[in-house]
Amino acid sequence: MLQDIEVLFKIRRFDPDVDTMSRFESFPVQVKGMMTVLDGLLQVFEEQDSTLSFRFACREGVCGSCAMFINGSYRLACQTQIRELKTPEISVNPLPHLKVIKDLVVDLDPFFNKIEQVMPYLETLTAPPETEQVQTQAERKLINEVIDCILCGSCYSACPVVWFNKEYLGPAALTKAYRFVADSRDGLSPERLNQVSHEDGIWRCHTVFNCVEACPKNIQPADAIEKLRKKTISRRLKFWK
Amino acid sequence: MENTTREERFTEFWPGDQYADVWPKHYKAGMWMWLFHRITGLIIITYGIIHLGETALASIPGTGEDVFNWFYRVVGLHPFIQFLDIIIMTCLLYHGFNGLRIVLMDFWGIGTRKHKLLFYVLMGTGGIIWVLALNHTLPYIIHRSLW
Repeated sequence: MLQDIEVLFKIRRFDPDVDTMSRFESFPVQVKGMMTVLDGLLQVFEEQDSTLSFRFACREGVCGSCAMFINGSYRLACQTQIRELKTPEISVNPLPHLKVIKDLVVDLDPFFNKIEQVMPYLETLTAPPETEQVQTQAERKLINEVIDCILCGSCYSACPVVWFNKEYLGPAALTKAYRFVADSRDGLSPERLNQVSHEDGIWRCHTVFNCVEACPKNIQPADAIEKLRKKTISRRLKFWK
Repeated sequence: MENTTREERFTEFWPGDQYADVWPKHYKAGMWMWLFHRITGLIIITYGIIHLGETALASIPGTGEDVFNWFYRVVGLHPFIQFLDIIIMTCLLYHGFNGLRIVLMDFWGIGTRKHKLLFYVLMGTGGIIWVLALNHTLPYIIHRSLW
């Protein structure tokens, strides 16, 4: 049986109607058993301050709503055990470099606008078959990793190129583009490659690998961007393999 | 803040803006590699400009050669400048080998999933060259500064 412990949640608060600057507010949280940071936030919300705003939905790392900057790392609040952090104080920030709507809720519009720019849907050139579209295991394996993206926005928030260049598509959108370029069922690969190969697309990436460090689903967006680059180069320069 | 829409407010400075992750204590390995690549690049280009100016002195007709020789003797052989040379060499090795990593990743997709391992292998190679070069130049520098 695990001993109950008390940790201090330092939550960054910002209410646009009242505050002129964001501020930290501390809340003691009683940790019973294996509680996640999201459980802690819910405890604060239910027992101490019901004005606290944060996003969550599935509580099991599938929806990507609760991505936050917790103790200096990008994490999903619902997938982070309080005991695993091993600190008496836990700082909870909204995703940095995104506009804060209130407390831990950020404006993800620029993120989703860029996802939309890369046509995030399957487009076949032939008419849909009677049954299902068959993929071999080898073909499925190519997209096995990138298909896991839950659109939490961690990589977008962590990318230093996005910090300084708001036009850059960002790691999530480019990974999404790669997901369909690599898909054997998709017929729009040339158009997709054209769409991402401009100066604010794949060529803007500086391979800092912050997206790889930030991704809570262990996807490697930098790897996907490099593969897109390689595909674009070998398409434009026929002799390059 | 009243009477403005959210979009209007967002275009200006927004008091809720926060940049918790820009502090160096949060930087991961890749971020440091990138930052040092930038810094060493700036050092190398500054050195390059100075070096070009210095060697161009020799091409001035008439007294140019004497001026260059004087400059080389007084400034170029100064122990502190010699020490800076070691720093330039370190920067060149870092920038070159890290640049090699970037070229390998960008052109052939080599090591994108193991970029840290690739970095350490290349830095190890660079380190060996650094030690060999230092082994060759350090006795001269020490000799000159004692003399």
